[in-house]
Amino acid sequence: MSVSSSSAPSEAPANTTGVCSSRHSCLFLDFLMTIKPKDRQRMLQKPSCSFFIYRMLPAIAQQVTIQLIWKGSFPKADDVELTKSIEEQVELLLKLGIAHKATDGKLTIDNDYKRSYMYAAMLGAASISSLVLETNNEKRRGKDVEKKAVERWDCILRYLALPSEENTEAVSDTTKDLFRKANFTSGESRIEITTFGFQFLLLSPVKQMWTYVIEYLKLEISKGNDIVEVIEPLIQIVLLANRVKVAGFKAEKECYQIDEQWTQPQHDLLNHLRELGVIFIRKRKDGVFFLTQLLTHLATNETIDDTSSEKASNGKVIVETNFRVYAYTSSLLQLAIIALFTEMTYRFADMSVGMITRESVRGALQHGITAAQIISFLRANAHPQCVATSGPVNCLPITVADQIRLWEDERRRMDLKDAYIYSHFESDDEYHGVVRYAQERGILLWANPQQKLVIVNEEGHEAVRQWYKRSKGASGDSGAGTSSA
Amino acid sequence: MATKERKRRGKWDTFKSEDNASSSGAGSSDKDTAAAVPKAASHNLSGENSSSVMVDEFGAKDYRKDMPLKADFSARPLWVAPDGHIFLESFSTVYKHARDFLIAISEPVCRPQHIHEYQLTAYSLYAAVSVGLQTKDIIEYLERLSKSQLPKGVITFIQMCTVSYGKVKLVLKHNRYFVESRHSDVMQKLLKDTVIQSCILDDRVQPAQQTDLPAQEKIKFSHGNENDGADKDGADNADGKVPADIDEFFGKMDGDDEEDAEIRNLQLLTFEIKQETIETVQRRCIELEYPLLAEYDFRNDTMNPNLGIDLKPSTTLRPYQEKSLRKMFGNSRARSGVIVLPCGAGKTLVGVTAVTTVNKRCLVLANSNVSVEQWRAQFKLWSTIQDKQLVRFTREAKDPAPSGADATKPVVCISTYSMVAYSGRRTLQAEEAMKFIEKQEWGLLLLDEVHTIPAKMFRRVLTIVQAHCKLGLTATLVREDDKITDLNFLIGPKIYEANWMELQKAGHIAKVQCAEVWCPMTSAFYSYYLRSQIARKLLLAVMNPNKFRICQFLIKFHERRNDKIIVFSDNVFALKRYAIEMQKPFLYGETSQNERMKILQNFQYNPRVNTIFVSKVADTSFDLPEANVLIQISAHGGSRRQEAQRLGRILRAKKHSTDQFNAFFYSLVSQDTVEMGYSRKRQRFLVNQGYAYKVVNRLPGMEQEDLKLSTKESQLQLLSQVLATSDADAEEEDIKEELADGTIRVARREATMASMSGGQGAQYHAKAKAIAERHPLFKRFRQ
Repeated sequence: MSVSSSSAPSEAPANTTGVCSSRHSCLFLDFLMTIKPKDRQRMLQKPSCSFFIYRMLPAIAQQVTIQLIWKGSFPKADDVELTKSIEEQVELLLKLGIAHKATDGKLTIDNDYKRSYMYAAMLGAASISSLVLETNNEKRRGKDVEKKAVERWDCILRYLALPSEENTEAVSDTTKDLFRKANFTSGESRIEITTFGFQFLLLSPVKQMWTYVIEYLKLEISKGNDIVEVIEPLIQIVLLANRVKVAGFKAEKECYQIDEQWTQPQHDLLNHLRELGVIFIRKRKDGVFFLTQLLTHLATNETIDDTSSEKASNGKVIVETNFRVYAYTSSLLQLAIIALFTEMTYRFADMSVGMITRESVRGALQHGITAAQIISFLRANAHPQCVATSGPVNCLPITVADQIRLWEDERRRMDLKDAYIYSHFESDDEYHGVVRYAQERGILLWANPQQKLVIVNEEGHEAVRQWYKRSKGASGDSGAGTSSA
Repeated sequence: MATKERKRRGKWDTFKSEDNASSSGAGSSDKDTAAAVPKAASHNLSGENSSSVMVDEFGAKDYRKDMPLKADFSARPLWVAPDGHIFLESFSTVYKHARDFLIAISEPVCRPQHIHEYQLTAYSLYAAVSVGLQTKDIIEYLERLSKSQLPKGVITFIQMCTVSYGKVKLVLKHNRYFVESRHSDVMQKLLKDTVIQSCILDDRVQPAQQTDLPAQEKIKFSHGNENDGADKDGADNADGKVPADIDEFFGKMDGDDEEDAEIRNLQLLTFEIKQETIETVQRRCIELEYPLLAEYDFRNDTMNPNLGIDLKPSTTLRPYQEKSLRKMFGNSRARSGVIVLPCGAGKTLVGVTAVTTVNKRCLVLANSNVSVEQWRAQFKLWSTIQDKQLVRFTREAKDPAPSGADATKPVVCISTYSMVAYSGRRTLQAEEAMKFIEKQEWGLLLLDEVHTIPAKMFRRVLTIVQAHCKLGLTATLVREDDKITDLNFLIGPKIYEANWMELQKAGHIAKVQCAEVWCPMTSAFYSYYLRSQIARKLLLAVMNPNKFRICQFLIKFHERRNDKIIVFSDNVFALKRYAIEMQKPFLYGETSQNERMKILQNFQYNPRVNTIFVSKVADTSFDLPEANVLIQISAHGGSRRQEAQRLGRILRAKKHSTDQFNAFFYSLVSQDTVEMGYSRKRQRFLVNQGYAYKVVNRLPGMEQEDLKLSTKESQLQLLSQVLATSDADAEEEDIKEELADGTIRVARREATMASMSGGQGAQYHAKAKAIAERHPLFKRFRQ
């Protein structure tokens, strides 16, 4: 008798990195929970940090925090649903160390947090920052701020999507290292994008930036640097986004001094933000940096960015009910992303044509991209014309969205489980013996008397083996087989 | 030949060829009858320069170098790819300018909501020339509409395809045939040809007397509202976004396509040819690459008497109907050609108007007796025609052929293709009628559902019927094969093709929600399915108990809404079984004409008959204006045409026209069977017209419904019945040819219907349950 087993390849990719964080969680808060409590406590003592954490909290958690700070308690909701969601948020606050539960179950606010929050609230976001604003008098220093910013960010994405030599040179070693550590790329000399890298590309810009920043912070921790030292200036800069959002903001008009006293990790951070394009530094020796529009991405709570109107207005993709895709772009990056799940047919100077086919989508799914990601990408990048005629959801025809999901489901219809097949029985008796034993134990999946094949489930294999040894004494296992579905 | 071949190959295989070759039979074996097609027509752009096309990093054809953008590209709506594909932005400000032009010069590939795709083909350019466009105008206008410079290949292609077309016309005047041209070089070439020389009646070429050309009078179809459109156009353009050169040219294109002044100044040369040699001349001219455009100068035809009918004053034409007719009667003569309008968009009215415009003897050919009756009714509805001017000639209703003094009076005769093309023995009465048809000189030959007839039968019809002008009407000129393009040369080019989505938006046809409903196979059926031959597989897929239950659920659901439901099944066994089980009337090939009419009338007027089951006999030409729900349980393989034709049964505009869907088309598909693949193929045509199929894999509320075949026992019983059927039952029905002598030739073996008896005793429980609230399914559609 011979036994063989094979493990079926798992179809769905495992969701492990931060890329696939669930819809309602915030990358930044998730990260906070993972750092050492001591470091977290130090952060809570910083007014800017506490203020920023408050901003990133979900609405209910904000309410609870405010109530706790000013009243020391919060009212109970009558609604069961509401109570449940409040409890969830309280759980979040406990994990973040903002609130503590006393032994009697009473909830209290963290004293450090309370103090620093109130300090920040009274002074305002700008004043708690230690950054020094100056008006830019030298035009030269802030030339093409906005244009350069977007270019920088595209550079990074392009490196990931199309790792050609030229694109590789355009990014810093730390970014390369970061992407490798984050498991977005693989390979040392020839870089290849991984499943997670693809998923990263399909994210909204806000999520992409936060993912990058968090990965950067993780990298810092792994280097043994003091995390609080890096986070504080980061948050101070991000809080400046308020200024950027004000109407009439001119990026080249105001700049901030770079303090020579900053530590090396802090300077590194600045360089990275420069690479991301959220700040702009023309030359190191200028000693100043400028804010760019991209900074607003980091200031946005990514959980609520899905319907951001700003994106809807510059989308470029038309998807038709006959599964044709028309992309009004000449950006190699965007085309590369679209080509992940589309069969491209025509390339014109300002527009490209493609078809969404079963094969093309399956190809993407095999790369670990999910149907939901494709759909949300197409919705987020829908052409204004589509949004105008069909609204923000139906701009991607429902039938196309349904079909993409069905193609994904199609792959899940087969539920693959490991199993063991026994073949080459020496006699009928042996065959029947195994069948009978397997039946008794309830582990038999399938048996065929003509071909003398028996399949038992994974758990049953050991039992059958034991039984076989017992009944036979010693015997060698050999042969080939397959797994059963 | 065609039918024999079908038998041999087994019916289920035929869909592949059927799917592509709508007018099969024009095989190269019979060279004598095959229509000659100009060589230029067989050119195609995509094949020629495919070797040199750059491919970008994503595998797309890279035309960036070939097509540098113009500075004001965003104001222009077209990309013209070097392989002849044209992409049009439907949201462009000059969309309207571009649309009509593109329809004239190219074939629409797909026209969904935002970006339309067209393709330049030799045929489409031929059609363009035949409606009066000139080579240089085509290139010029295309250049102006394009976002980038026109690729050189495209320009050469247009020149190559158009330069020889449309130069020579065959004109029938005073019952004499003239070959007419303003291009003396072409005339010289023709005259030097020996074949043509032998056909010339009088070998002197004469400059036509200019007095022969009357001041061209514009033909009006409706009552004076013709200029409305033009005025509006002017107002639209005032916003100034339209690039000036496009606008200026548009006026020229949109205006009546009278010949260019420049060309008009050239002398018109004509020579007369012998009537019996027309076909020889036509073929020879095609061989010489100067296909003759057939035009009928009916205004100057004094030999044939006028019918003296007109449209009733109450009859109004819709804009697209008028436009299609304007193209046909462009320069106050009638051109032969094909008009393509969706089912239910009023093709009949276009036909009737064409008849009243030509106002001569007219022969209408339809493809079934039912539609002959419908044509007759439509003639009486729209026009002032007298009863005695209408002659029906079918196997069931034979009006006597006019004789004696009446014989010379003009009439409108309505018949079927099979009737006219029949080559066997006929009854005396039929013989007489045929003689009548052969003897007449018809002013207009109207060909309904022209895509359905095989080319061979079609040629026979054309040899029998002498007609000055031929107008083909169809909804689905599905063209991927070269076969259907033969029609272009047999009848004439496509004159006009309407956009389904735009008609739908304007409320001229119903707004249909298409759904593909996935019915999971029961495990018992599926295990037999896997082991069966293909014919049995298909039957098992159709008889899938889940499909039956879903069908019954949908019928119950829509009957409660007071909808009128048609259920289509190609498989007769399934048709009968479903219908009997659900106690509904059914109708298929063997149902007599009398019974058919009764069932259809009951369906239309009897509020208690809301559902009928029909086989593919009802695919085309069954006008059922009330029907608004269509359920398809079995179909003919992957035929795109059938799908579109079936959809056509419910397309007629509904009374309660709103923004919401008012008609529903369900295609029931057994999951994991061949039906899935077929279904996708079938949908391609409609999807390219802009329809979207919603996939439904769960119907909410089905659990609460009392449906048949709910128990395992009943399902197994059904399975055993299905397995017990003979092979003949398992196959779909053959359409029997309606024969001229009034009999139906039953080709099928008589089936063993013992298996049917199980269904006879079944009882129908009607559940009169008022709907308290909107059904969840219903809600879903209303979103």
